[in-house]
Amino acid sequence: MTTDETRTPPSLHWDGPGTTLICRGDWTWEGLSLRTPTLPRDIAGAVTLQTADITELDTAGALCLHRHLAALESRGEAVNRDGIPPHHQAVLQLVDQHRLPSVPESQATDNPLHRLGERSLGLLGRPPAFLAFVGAVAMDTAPKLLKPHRIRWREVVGEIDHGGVRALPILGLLIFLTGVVIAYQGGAPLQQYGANIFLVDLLSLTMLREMAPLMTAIIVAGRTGSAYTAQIGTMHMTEEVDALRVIGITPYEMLVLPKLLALLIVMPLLTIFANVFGMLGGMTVASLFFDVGFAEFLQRMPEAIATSSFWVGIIKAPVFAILIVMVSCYHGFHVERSTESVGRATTKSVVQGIFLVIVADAAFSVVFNMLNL
Amino acid sequence: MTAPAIASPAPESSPVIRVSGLCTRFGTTTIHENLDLDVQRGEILGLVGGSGTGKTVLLREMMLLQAPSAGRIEILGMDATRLHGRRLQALRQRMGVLFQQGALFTGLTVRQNISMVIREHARLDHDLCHELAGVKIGLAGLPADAADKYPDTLSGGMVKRAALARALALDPELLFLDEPTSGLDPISTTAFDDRIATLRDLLGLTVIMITHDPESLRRATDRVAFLAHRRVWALDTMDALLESTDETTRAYFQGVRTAHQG
Repeated sequence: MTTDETRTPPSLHWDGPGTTLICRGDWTWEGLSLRTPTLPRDIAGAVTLQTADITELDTAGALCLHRHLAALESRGEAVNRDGIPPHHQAVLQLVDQHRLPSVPESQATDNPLHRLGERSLGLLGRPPAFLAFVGAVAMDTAPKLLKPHRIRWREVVGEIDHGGVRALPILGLLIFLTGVVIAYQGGAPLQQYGANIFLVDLLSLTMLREMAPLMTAIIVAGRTGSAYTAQIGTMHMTEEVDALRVIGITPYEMLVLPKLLALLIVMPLLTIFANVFGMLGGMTVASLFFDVGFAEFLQRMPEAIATSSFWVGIIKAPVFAILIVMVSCYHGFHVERSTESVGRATTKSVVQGIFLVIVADAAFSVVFNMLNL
Repeated sequence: MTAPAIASPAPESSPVIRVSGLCTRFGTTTIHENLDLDVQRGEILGLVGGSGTGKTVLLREMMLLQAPSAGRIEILGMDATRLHGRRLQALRQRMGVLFQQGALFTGLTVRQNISMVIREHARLDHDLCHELAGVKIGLAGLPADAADKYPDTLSGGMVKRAALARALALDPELLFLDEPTSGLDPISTTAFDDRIATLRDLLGLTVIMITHDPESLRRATDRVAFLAHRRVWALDTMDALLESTDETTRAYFQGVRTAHQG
């Protein structure tokens, strides 16, 4: 009613020297934002409160007034409320009736020691929870795998499209640039020794064995893993997961298995794609700046590395796929019923996914080294 | 086809909301066609109609969340379809909304949900803000121990009440309720309706509510707008609508009545 008019700030003052306190102005949240009226200090004896001059009174104003009345009364002063018109009385009463008994704010839960303990217990509790999840997924999906015609191939194809085909442009670009960087950085020192041709060895080894599988896994974890967590987490919040259970579809079979199969199929293919584009990036730099032409490069390649290097790279891809799917789905299913927790779970899923991929990659290096591959 | 039975609006004051010539189209489907509706100050208006008649869309248009395809919506004397920036924000502060699903912020406790609204617009000291949020929680009929709980731990009925508390946070002049009592037990529904009526009387609210509960419609509303055939087909008191001789109106409200008696 008065948004566009200038508001008079609420005030509380003595009517002359007497015992009547007069409230004036706008006792609304907007008025109170301008100024919070305080009780005059010199109060002694009985007081009559006049509120008839208040232009507008809302619950915020009434609460403020109520506090002043309570303060007066707690000091043992008698307050005469005859000067409060009935409609103001009603609002005051409404506010008074619905005030909540003040609950002491709990502080015990927020000290560093408590948090440390809680975190530690959480950490101790997590590996079994994750293992239990893996076990449950295996229990639900293994019977399906024995009956391949009952697998939801339509969903698998959809996931291949989302997680694989649509990742091609970004993956191709990034791995091409990675190849360019490796060739640049490695080429300069090799050129000093006139060993330009060894650029082929350098590129093939790093690209096929390490960079291509790793970059693929990192991009898939960031791009697809986060999407999995967010999707499952949101479905969990909107009770869609429970709906699946009630209908008689185990959510793991419906939500995890197609993703797992899709990434198992698509990750090795993505890795091969990355190999090609990574090498292409390297070859471009080699031919432009280090006098190693495309033909020469390709001729040298089979001599430079064993075919095992290629397979070593490819064999990692399914393992990375399993890690990424399991971690992202685990976090998706463990979202709490709040929108914030979807965000947190997605972050965790990507961070842990990439972390595990790199750990697995390191483990692979050790194993392959021991096997002399 | 019979003529729509629209009661002549009470002429004593200018309407708080005046919808005129409203059209809403989604692609090729027309939801509203030349819809007119006046909401009087201080009334509780029920909005009813079969599913798909555009109740929620009309409500969303009135609370400025969705722009109509054509037509004019005047809210509190301002042409709402042409407002921008600060004036739009100022108008929004004068309305409170209870969404169908509650739409509480899940990362905040009930009290924080309310005090956040207060703190965003008003500069009150922390204690007053805290206590005011408590009053709203009490007004909405929530027990004190619910104040510091998170929405995901509340029952459906409590979520509704918490959402009402948030809608009341800034003492709005206009209160929009989208199925406020769906999912509440009959006793809570009665209490909720009475509370809305009390708040209307004390705080001078104008309330527009979508509801399917015949008991609510009869007890809480002053007038009921019945949406059919892409417009407000009938606008009258619930009792008058129940006695209506118009075919469309009778068909709908007979169903409502049987549901109520059964």
